[in-house]
Amino acid sequence: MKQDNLNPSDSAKIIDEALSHVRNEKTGAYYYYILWGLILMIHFFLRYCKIVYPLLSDYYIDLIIYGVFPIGGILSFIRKDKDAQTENLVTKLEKVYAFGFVGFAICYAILGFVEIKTHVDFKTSLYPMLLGFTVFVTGGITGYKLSIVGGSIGMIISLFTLILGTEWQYLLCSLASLICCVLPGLFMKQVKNV
Amino acid sequence: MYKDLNPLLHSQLRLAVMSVLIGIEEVEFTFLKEKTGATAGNLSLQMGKLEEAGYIKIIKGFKGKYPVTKCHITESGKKAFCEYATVIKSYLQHL
Repeated sequence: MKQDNLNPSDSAKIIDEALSHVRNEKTGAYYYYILWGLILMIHFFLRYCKIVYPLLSDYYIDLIIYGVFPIGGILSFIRKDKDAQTENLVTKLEKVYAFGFVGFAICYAILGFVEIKTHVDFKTSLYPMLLGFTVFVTGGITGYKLSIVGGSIGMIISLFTLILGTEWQYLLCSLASLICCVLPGLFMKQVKNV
Repeated sequence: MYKDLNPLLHSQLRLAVMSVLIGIEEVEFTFLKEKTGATAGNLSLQMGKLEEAGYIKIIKGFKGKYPVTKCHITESGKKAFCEYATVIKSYLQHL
Protein backbone atom coordinates (compact mmCIF):
# COMPACT_ATOMS: atom_id res chain seq x y z
CA MET A 1 0.00 0.00 0.00
CA LYS A 2 1.21 3.50 -0.76
CA GLN A 3 1.57 5.97 2.07
CA ASP A 4 0.23 9.51 2.52
CA ASN A 5 -0.94 11.86 -0.28
CA LEU A 6 -4.47 11.12 0.83
CA ASN A 7 -7.30 13.52 0.19
CA PRO A 8 -10.37 13.56 2.48
CA SER A 9 -12.40 11.47 0.03
CA ASP A 10 -9.69 8.79 -0.02
CA SER A 11 -9.63 8.74 3.77
CA ALA A 12 -13.40 8.41 3.97
CA LYS A 13 -13.28 5.59 1.41
CA ILE A 14 -10.60 3.70 3.37
CA ILE A 15 -12.59 4.01 6.60
CA ASP A 16 -15.80 2.92 4.89
CA GLU A 17 -14.18 -0.09 3.17
CA ALA A 18 -12.47 -1.26 6.36
CA LEU A 19 -15.66 -0.97 8.39
CA SER A 20 -17.67 -2.83 5.77
CA HIS A 21 -15.12 -5.69 5.84
CA VAL A 22 -15.57 -5.95 9.60
CA ARG A 23 -19.35 -5.52 9.48
CA ASN A 24 -19.69 -8.65 7.34
CA GLU A 25 -17.82 -10.92 9.76
CA LYS A 26 -20.00 -13.61 11.34
CA THR A 27 -19.96 -14.37 15.06
CA GLY A 28 -20.84 -18.09 15.00
CA ALA A 29 -23.66 -17.42 17.49
CA TYR A 30 -26.06 -19.59 15.46
CA TYR A 31 -24.43 -22.76 16.84
CA TYR A 32 -25.06 -21.76 20.46
CA TYR A 33 -28.60 -20.60 19.66
CA ILE A 34 -29.46 -23.98 18.12
CA LEU A 35 -27.61 -26.07 20.72
CA TRP A 36 -28.94 -24.34 23.85
CA GLY A 37 -32.34 -23.78 22.30
CA LEU A 38 -32.66 -27.54 21.71
CA ILE A 39 -31.32 -28.41 25.16
CA LEU A 40 -33.79 -26.10 26.92
CA MET A 41 -36.61 -27.23 24.64
CA ILE A 42 -35.96 -30.90 25.50
CA HIS A 43 -35.51 -30.08 29.20
CA PHE A 44 -38.85 -28.27 29.52
CA PHE A 45 -40.73 -30.66 27.26
CA LEU A 46 -39.65 -33.66 29.35
CA ARG A 47 -40.67 -31.84 32.53
CA TYR A 48 -44.08 -31.33 30.92
CA CYS A 49 -44.24 -35.04 29.97
CA LYS A 50 -43.30 -36.04 33.49
CA ILE A 51 -46.36 -34.27 34.89
CA VAL A 52 -48.81 -35.20 32.14
CA TYR A 53 -47.66 -38.84 31.84
CA PRO A 54 -46.74 -39.83 35.42
CA LEU A 55 -46.18 -43.45 34.40
CA LEU A 56 -42.89 -42.53 32.76
CA SER A 57 -39.93 -43.82 34.75
CA ASP A 58 -38.72 -41.09 37.12
CA TYR A 59 -35.09 -42.18 37.16
CA TYR A 60 -34.52 -42.22 33.40
CA ILE A 61 -36.54 -39.13 32.65
CA ASP A 62 -34.70 -37.20 35.38
CA LEU A 63 -31.44 -38.45 33.95
CA ILE A 64 -32.29 -36.91 30.58
CA ILE A 65 -33.90 -33.75 32.03
CA TYR A 66 -30.74 -32.80 33.93
CA GLY A 67 -28.23 -34.73 31.80
CA VAL A 68 -28.77 -32.45 28.80
CA PHE A 69 -27.02 -29.54 30.56
CA PRO A 70 -23.57 -31.14 30.97
CA ILE A 71 -23.86 -32.44 27.39
CA GLY A 72 -24.53 -28.86 26.25
CA GLY A 73 -21.59 -27.61 28.31
CA ILE A 74 -19.22 -30.18 26.76
CA LEU A 75 -20.41 -29.44 23.20
CA SER A 76 -20.06 -25.68 23.80
CA PHE A 77 -16.54 -26.16 25.17
CA ILE A 78 -15.51 -28.28 22.16
CA ARG A 79 -16.94 -25.70 19.75
CA LYS A 80 -15.26 -22.80 21.56
CA ASP A 81 -11.93 -24.61 21.42
CA LYS A 82 -12.37 -25.33 17.70
CA ASP A 83 -13.33 -21.70 17.00
CA ALA A 84 -10.27 -20.46 18.91
CA GLN A 85 -8.06 -22.47 16.53
CA THR A 86 -9.67 -21.16 13.35
CA GLU A 87 -10.96 -17.65 14.07
CA ASN A 88 -8.63 -14.70 13.71
CA LEU A 89 -10.78 -11.92 15.11
CA VAL A 90 -13.25 -11.21 17.89
CA THR A 91 -16.16 -9.01 16.79
CA LYS A 92 -17.94 -6.52 19.05
CA LEU A 93 -21.18 -8.46 18.56
CA GLU A 94 -19.69 -11.48 20.33
CA LYS A 95 -19.47 -9.32 23.45
CA VAL A 96 -23.11 -8.32 23.00
CA TYR A 97 -24.15 -11.99 22.96
CA ALA A 98 -21.87 -12.87 25.88
CA PHE A 99 -23.14 -10.05 28.12
CA GLY A 100 -26.74 -10.62 27.08
CA PHE A 101 -26.83 -14.33 27.85
CA VAL A 102 -24.63 -14.16 30.95
CA GLY A 103 -27.09 -11.54 32.25
CA PHE A 104 -29.95 -13.92 31.45
CA ALA A 105 -28.20 -16.78 33.30
CA ILE A 106 -27.55 -14.60 36.37
CA CYS A 107 -31.22 -13.52 36.54
CA TYR A 108 -32.36 -17.13 36.13
CA ALA A 109 -29.97 -18.31 38.87
CA ILE A 110 -31.28 -15.59 41.23
CA LEU A 111 -34.84 -16.78 40.60
CA GLY A 112 -33.69 -20.34 41.29
CA PHE A 113 -32.20 -19.19 44.61
CA VAL A 114 -35.47 -17.41 45.49
CA GLU A 115 -37.31 -20.67 44.76
CA ILE A 116 -35.11 -22.56 47.21
CA LYS A 117 -35.79 -19.97 49.92
CA THR A 118 -39.51 -19.36 49.33
CA HIS A 119 -40.58 -22.63 47.65
CA VAL A 120 -42.30 -20.55 44.98
CA ASP A 121 -41.25 -21.25 41.38
CA PHE A 122 -40.80 -17.86 39.74
CA LYS A 123 -38.13 -18.99 37.32
CA THR A 124 -40.34 -21.16 35.11
CA SER A 125 -43.06 -18.55 34.74
CA LEU A 126 -40.53 -15.79 34.07
CA TYR A 127 -38.25 -17.87 31.81
CA PRO A 128 -39.96 -16.90 28.50
CA MET A 129 -39.89 -13.25 29.51
CA LEU A 130 -36.17 -13.28 30.41
CA LEU A 131 -35.20 -15.29 27.34
CA GLY A 132 -37.45 -13.25 25.05
CA PHE A 133 -36.07 -9.99 26.41
CA THR A 134 -32.44 -11.14 25.95
CA VAL A 135 -33.05 -12.37 22.40
CA PHE A 136 -35.06 -9.23 21.57
CA VAL A 137 -32.29 -6.87 22.76
CA THR A 138 -29.41 -8.81 21.13
CA GLY A 139 -31.48 -9.05 17.93
CA GLY A 140 -32.08 -5.31 18.03
CA ILE A 141 -28.38 -4.53 18.44
CA THR A 142 -27.28 -6.95 15.73
CA GLY A 143 -30.20 -5.96 13.48
CA TYR A 144 -31.36 -9.58 13.06
CA LYS A 145 -35.12 -9.42 12.52
CA LEU A 146 -35.92 -13.07 13.36
CA SER A 147 -34.44 -12.59 16.83
CA ILE A 148 -36.51 -9.45 17.32
CA VAL A 149 -39.68 -11.28 16.30
CA GLY A 150 -38.77 -14.44 18.29
CA GLY A 151 -37.90 -12.40 21.36
CA SER A 152 -41.18 -10.48 21.13
CA ILE A 153 -43.15 -13.75 20.93
CA GLY A 154 -41.17 -15.08 23.91
CA MET A 155 -42.16 -12.07 25.99
CA ILE A 156 -45.79 -12.48 24.94
CA ILE A 157 -45.68 -16.19 25.93
CA SER A 158 -44.76 -15.13 29.47
CA LEU A 159 -48.23 -13.56 29.71
CA PHE A 160 -49.59 -17.13 29.71
CA THR A 161 -46.87 -18.78 31.81
CA LEU A 162 -47.62 -16.26 34.57
CA ILE A 163 -51.27 -17.29 34.80
CA LEU A 164 -51.38 -20.97 33.76
CA GLY A 165 -50.63 -24.17 35.70
CA THR A 166 -47.22 -25.81 36.03
CA GLU A 167 -47.53 -28.36 33.20
CA TRP A 168 -48.57 -25.62 30.74
CA GLN A 169 -45.73 -23.44 31.96
CA TYR A 170 -43.26 -26.19 31.04
CA LEU A 171 -44.83 -26.71 27.63
CA LEU A 172 -44.81 -22.98 26.90
CA CYS A 173 -41.18 -22.69 28.07
CA SER A 174 -40.31 -25.43 25.60
CA LEU A 175 -42.15 -23.52 22.87
CA ALA A 176 -40.38 -20.28 23.87
CA SER A 177 -37.00 -22.04 23.52
CA LEU A 178 -37.97 -23.15 20.02
CA ILE A 179 -39.20 -19.73 18.91
CA CYS A 180 -36.56 -17.57 20.61
CA CYS A 181 -33.46 -19.70 19.99
CA VAL A 182 -33.79 -22.70 17.67
CA LEU A 183 -35.64 -21.01 14.79
CA PRO A 184 -33.57 -17.78 14.74
CA GLY A 185 -30.42 -19.92 15.06
CA LEU A 186 -31.32 -22.09 12.07
CA PHE A 187 -31.64 -19.06 9.77
CA MET A 188 -28.79 -17.10 11.36
CA LYS A 189 -26.17 -19.13 9.51
CA GLN A 190 -27.21 -17.63 6.18
CA VAL A 191 -27.09 -14.05 7.44
CA LYS A 192 -23.99 -11.84 7.51
CA ASN A 193 -22.98 -9.91 10.59
CA VAL A 194 -24.93 -11.80 13.28
CA MET B 1 -10.75 27.30 9.87
CA TYR B 2 -9.77 23.67 9.16
CA LYS B 3 -8.17 21.61 11.87
CA ASP B 4 -4.95 19.77 11.03
CA LEU B 5 -5.24 16.06 10.32
CA ASN B 6 -3.38 13.74 12.68
CA PRO B 7 -0.25 12.89 10.59
CA LEU B 8 0.03 9.46 12.22
CA LEU B 9 -3.42 8.46 11.01
CA HIS B 10 -3.18 10.27 7.69
CA SER B 11 -1.53 7.35 5.97
CA GLN B 12 -3.34 4.76 3.89
CA LEU B 13 -2.16 1.67 5.74
CA ARG B 14 -2.27 3.05 9.28
CA LEU B 15 -5.74 4.47 8.66
CA ALA B 16 -6.94 1.13 7.28
CA VAL B 17 -5.57 -0.68 10.34
CA MET B 18 -7.23 1.77 12.72
CA SER B 19 -10.52 1.59 10.79
CA VAL B 20 -10.58 -2.20 11.10
CA LEU B 21 -9.67 -2.09 14.78
CA ILE B 22 -12.34 0.49 15.66
CA GLY B 23 -15.03 -1.96 14.54
CA ILE B 24 -13.90 -5.06 16.41
CA GLU B 25 -12.71 -6.23 19.82
CA GLU B 26 -9.49 -8.01 18.91
CA VAL B 27 -7.83 -9.13 15.71
CA GLU B 28 -4.93 -11.28 14.59
CA PHE B 29 -2.10 -9.95 12.45
CA THR B 30 -3.03 -12.38 9.65
CA PHE B 31 -6.53 -10.89 9.36
CA LEU B 32 -5.13 -7.36 9.07
CA LYS B 33 -2.61 -8.50 6.48
CA GLU B 34 -5.37 -10.12 4.43
CA LYS B 35 -7.76 -7.16 4.64
CA THR B 36 -5.20 -4.42 3.98
CA GLY B 37 -3.23 -6.33 1.34
CA ALA B 38 0.00 -5.03 2.86
CA THR B 39 3.24 -6.98 3.18
CA ALA B 40 4.03 -8.45 6.58
CA GLY B 41 7.09 -6.23 7.00
CA ASN B 42 5.33 -2.97 6.14
CA LEU B 43 2.29 -3.83 8.23
CA SER B 44 4.48 -4.71 11.18
CA LEU B 45 6.37 -1.41 10.82
CA GLN B 46 3.20 0.71 10.66
CA MET B 47 1.61 -1.15 13.56
CA GLY B 48 4.75 -0.52 15.56
CA LYS B 49 4.29 3.23 14.98
CA LEU B 50 0.68 3.05 16.10
CA GLU B 51 1.67 1.12 19.20
CA GLU B 52 4.43 3.63 19.98
CA ALA B 53 1.82 6.40 19.88
CA GLY B 54 -0.34 4.38 22.28
CA TYR B 55 -3.15 3.97 19.74
CA ILE B 56 -3.07 0.18 19.65
CA LYS B 57 -1.91 -2.63 21.92
CA ILE B 58 -0.04 -5.57 20.39
CA ILE B 59 -0.10 -8.88 22.25
CA LYS B 60 2.13 -11.79 21.27
CA GLY B 61 1.07 -15.28 22.26
CA PHE B 62 0.53 -18.81 21.04
CA LYS B 63 -2.34 -20.61 19.33
CA GLY B 64 -1.58 -24.24 20.02
CA LYS B 65 2.05 -24.66 18.98
CA TYR B 66 2.12 -21.64 16.67
CA PRO B 67 3.00 -18.06 17.60
CA VAL B 68 0.24 -15.54 17.07
CA THR B 69 0.15 -11.74 17.19
CA LYS B 70 -3.08 -10.09 18.26
CA CYS B 71 -3.92 -6.44 18.63
CA HIS B 72 -6.70 -4.16 19.76
CA ILE B 73 -7.36 -0.43 19.79
CA THR B 74 -6.76 1.56 23.00
CA GLU B 75 -8.90 4.35 24.46
CA SER B 76 -6.49 7.01 23.18
CA GLY B 77 -6.58 5.30 19.78
CA LYS B 78 -10.38 5.48 19.74
CA LYS B 79 -10.22 9.17 20.68
CA ALA B 80 -7.63 9.95 17.99
CA PHE B 81 -9.62 8.06 15.36
CA CYS B 82 -12.84 9.88 16.27
CA GLU B 83 -11.07 13.25 16.08
CA TYR B 84 -9.58 12.30 12.70
CA ALA B 85 -13.00 11.19 11.39
CA THR B 86 -14.57 14.46 12.60
CA VAL B 87 -11.94 16.53 10.79
CA ILE B 88 -12.37 14.47 7.61
CA LYS B 89 -16.13 14.99 7.86
CA SER B 90 -15.70 18.76 8.13
CA TYR B 91 -13.37 18.74 5.09
CA LEU B 92 -15.90 16.75 3.08
CA GLN B 93 -18.76 19.04 4.06
CA HIS B 94 -16.87 22.02 2.65
CA LEU B 95 -15.86 20.35 -0.60
